[in-house]
Amino acid sequence: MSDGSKITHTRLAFPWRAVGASACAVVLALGCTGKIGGQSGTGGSSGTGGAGDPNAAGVLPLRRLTSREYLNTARDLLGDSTLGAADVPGESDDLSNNAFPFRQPNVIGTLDAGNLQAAAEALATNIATKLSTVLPCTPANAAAEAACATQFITTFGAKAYRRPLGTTEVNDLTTLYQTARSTLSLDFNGAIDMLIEAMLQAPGFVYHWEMDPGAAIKDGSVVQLGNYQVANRLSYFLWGTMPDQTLFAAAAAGQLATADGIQAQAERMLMDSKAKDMIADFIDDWLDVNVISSRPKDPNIYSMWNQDLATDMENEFRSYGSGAVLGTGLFSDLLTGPNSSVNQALATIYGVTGVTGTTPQPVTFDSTQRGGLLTLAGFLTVTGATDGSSPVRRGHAVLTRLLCNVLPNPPANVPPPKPPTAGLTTRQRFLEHDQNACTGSCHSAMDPIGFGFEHYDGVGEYRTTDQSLPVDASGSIVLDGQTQTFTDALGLASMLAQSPQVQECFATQWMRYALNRWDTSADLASIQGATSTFQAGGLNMRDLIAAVATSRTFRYRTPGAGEILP
Amino acid sequence: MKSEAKYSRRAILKRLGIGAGFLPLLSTDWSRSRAASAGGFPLRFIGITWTDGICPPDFYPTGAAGALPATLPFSLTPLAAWSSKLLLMRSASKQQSPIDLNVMIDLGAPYGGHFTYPALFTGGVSSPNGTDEVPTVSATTPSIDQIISDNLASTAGISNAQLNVGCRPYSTSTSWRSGGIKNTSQTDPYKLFTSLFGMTDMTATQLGALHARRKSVLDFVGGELTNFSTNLGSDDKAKVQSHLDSIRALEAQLQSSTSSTAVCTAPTITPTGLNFNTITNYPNHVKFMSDLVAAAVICGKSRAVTMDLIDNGGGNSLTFPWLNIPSPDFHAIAHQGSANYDQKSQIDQWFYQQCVAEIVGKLAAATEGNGTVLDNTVILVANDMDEGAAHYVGNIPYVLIGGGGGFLKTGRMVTFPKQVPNNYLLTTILHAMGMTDVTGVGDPKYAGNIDAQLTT
Repeated sequence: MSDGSKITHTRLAFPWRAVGASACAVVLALGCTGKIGGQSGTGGSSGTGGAGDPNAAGVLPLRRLTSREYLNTARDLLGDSTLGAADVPGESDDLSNNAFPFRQPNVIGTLDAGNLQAAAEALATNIATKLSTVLPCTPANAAAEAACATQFITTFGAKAYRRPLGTTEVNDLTTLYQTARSTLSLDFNGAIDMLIEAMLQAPGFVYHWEMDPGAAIKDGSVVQLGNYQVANRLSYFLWGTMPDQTLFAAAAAGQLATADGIQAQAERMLMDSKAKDMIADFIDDWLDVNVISSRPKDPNIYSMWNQDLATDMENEFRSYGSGAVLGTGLFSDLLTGPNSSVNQALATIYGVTGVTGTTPQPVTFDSTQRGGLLTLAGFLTVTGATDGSSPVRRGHAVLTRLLCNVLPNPPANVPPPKPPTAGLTTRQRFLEHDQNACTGSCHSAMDPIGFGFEHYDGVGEYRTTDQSLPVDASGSIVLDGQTQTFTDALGLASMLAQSPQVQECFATQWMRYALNRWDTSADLASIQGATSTFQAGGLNMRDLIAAVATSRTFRYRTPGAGEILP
Repeated sequence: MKSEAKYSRRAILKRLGIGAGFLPLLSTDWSRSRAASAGGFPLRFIGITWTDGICPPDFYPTGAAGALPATLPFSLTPLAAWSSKLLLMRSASKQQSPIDLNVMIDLGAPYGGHFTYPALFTGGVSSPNGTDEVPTVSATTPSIDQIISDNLASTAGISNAQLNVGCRPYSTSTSWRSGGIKNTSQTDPYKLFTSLFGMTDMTATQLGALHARRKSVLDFVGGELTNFSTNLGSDDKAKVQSHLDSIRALEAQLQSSTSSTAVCTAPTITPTGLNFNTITNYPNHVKFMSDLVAAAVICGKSRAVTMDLIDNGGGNSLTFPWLNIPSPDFHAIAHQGSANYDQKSQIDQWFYQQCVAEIVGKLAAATEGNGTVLDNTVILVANDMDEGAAHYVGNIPYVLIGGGGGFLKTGRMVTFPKQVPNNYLLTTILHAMGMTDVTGVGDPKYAGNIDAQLTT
């Protein structure tokens, strides 16, 4: 199924207490792949859904800073990097079937509010000893303190809220300052410190809603984002943190109202070191390697598995991805590149000799065994089983993350494949499993892709035998409407890199990451435009990222239901 | 700019997440609700969950209704010492639970075991596939821990009742503030310890100054949130409202005091600095959380608790090397069904030992009047499906422990001639918590209870 619509199979009626086989049969009847969201024609169907509306733009749901964004912003606002991800509200990275590929912040509940409170108090305590780094003035006497406080509120406030403060906000902060001085009997520095603590919990800091002053700029049914809103959206997309002074200045000068103005900033920002972390975050989340540290492995099979190795794998994966984007920028290098940097522990996994110590060193892989992101240990470990490889998980990852396909939720009573058994390779066990009527539909799509990775065990070591039998890593995949065959993961990766369907899906994933939500039909033209730019420019990933940042749906938005526009 | 009434009846009804259609099911006189047992002791609720179903032969007693057998089914044997406090439920004619998730079956998902978790304590769940725009599953109404907590705040001025914790919690949750908004669980026992017991070494003066400062800041934040939400769309307003409610909860906590008569001791959480991503630290993770939950309840710091023990979405996270099960993972074992009941039941028994019995034992040892804290508590242990291999949602296993202040008649197994929605059970638990006027939880069409079966 590749008609561009999301499968709604669960809405089919099941008979009361239907036997398990009924659930299975329904899935079989529906086939296995579909699309999610309203993005007809995107994410793998290469334009089959037609052109999107060039005047449309999607919604901009209110969301808070993610944990990464909070920590980065604290670093850049206060010069404080003492907090960790567990100290601030986090995000669920839902790994269940058809879940959003990237982390999404939840609505703030009591625990989160408590974490915001504790984090703000900790940051305020730390800055108390060096308030001069954030104070724009030094009151010479008591009479000058109030004026200095006002100056602080407007200048520091504009950084903390990432846009100019409104009159009411200034008044409220001034009232709080007065309360601190009078009711709480704090001195000037103490009151300023409490203002910082309060600002860090205020909606202006916590939420992405950096509205410009003045009336909304309407364009038909959509609204153009203001300069400060664009500056923030751009900064948190490309850097994962607040705008720098150059970007703030561009916003103040009204230079972010045009695509050209954004393009210029995007090109500048991608050359900044902060972009490296953002790209690494995307790569990490996109293929779920960010959860590697919580994956258990059977110590009887993988005795080398521990937290240090997990960290090494994740670091290599992130570094490889950001290096590909910021290096040649070529999509083919991301999926098929031969070079990486590994330390001794990882070199042992890869069978690379001559690397010692814990510091990563440049290596070139044996081109007959390994090349590209999908053959790195991080991906292969996360998609491996506790006791071996997993054609299902690896095929599922390729289908959902590189082809943007959607798999129906699994039927309830899928029987498990046989456990690892002497005399049967993993491939043979899963081929037998696929003969089961209940498993055949989806597994016939996932497993032939996943078989391509059979040269890699549960932690990514290369192997030529499995259960003492020769490995057969050949497989097949439906790409761009055609069934194509390959002999191993290297052949598969080459096909993926050259596929317009995969390229379009990659553009879609970047758009989802930038918007932090599923794409909808309102985003279609923007995704198509970004894909065209990507493909027309020789598949340079930096071109794609900039195209996402200058797209209509990034710069405009559909107002929310019930929203009152200024 | 100050906020409106903090816990108005209207706000509570709104938080209950139901439209006007549900209102007739609720009492119009909240003051009639009781928050204490007949002996005047606090009533508490603890919900404990893990995933992947049960092995029926090792879970349900055989035989007729009545007194429990001398030997409990294998999975439940860690609770043997407190058999008189157990209340088991079984179909009259089969080794299966009499409790259905009717809401799932109504959605055409009798084998929707992947999506039952949000319904376990709420009785309501959205379509298992969500919508095109939001392809995830969520609860449609608040969970009973939230309802109990709101009721305590409203009727007794107790604002610190709710506690949601997890070890490797599922990406979804059992605790929901309202439809579509889940409560975040604390997963770090060290942080939980600090939040529960960390301020005990402050002087009264220090504590007073801290509270005064926090109150000023929270008042400011609440006002800013209120202003901020004015022009937002309805969906975004709901998000800010949740934030605002949370600010009010923090404010209320500043004024709260403990309300337990039991002797209270902070647990020892050692060793410190454990990395809970390492699977071999999971037993300590579970034990720490269990000890903290028990202490929080005994010390009167929490009265409505949920505890999610495991994230097993897609079979990605849990093995049991300390049980000599280093592989396969829990999910794969559950899928093997009757072919591997041995390992699955061994794991279930471990959860009962490491978590449930740990809590039960501590509550049973805490004297309260002529009884114990356990006597004034209802512990509800739930799983998200029947047998793991089938994912069937028609027989959801629940175990009740504790008397709810004498409300529940324990030490026995009750059999049911026909299935009942889990909403009935949840309503009965609210009755045990003193909310006797509540006539339904979740979808109004599932209004009802099983008081008669469980109390007489």
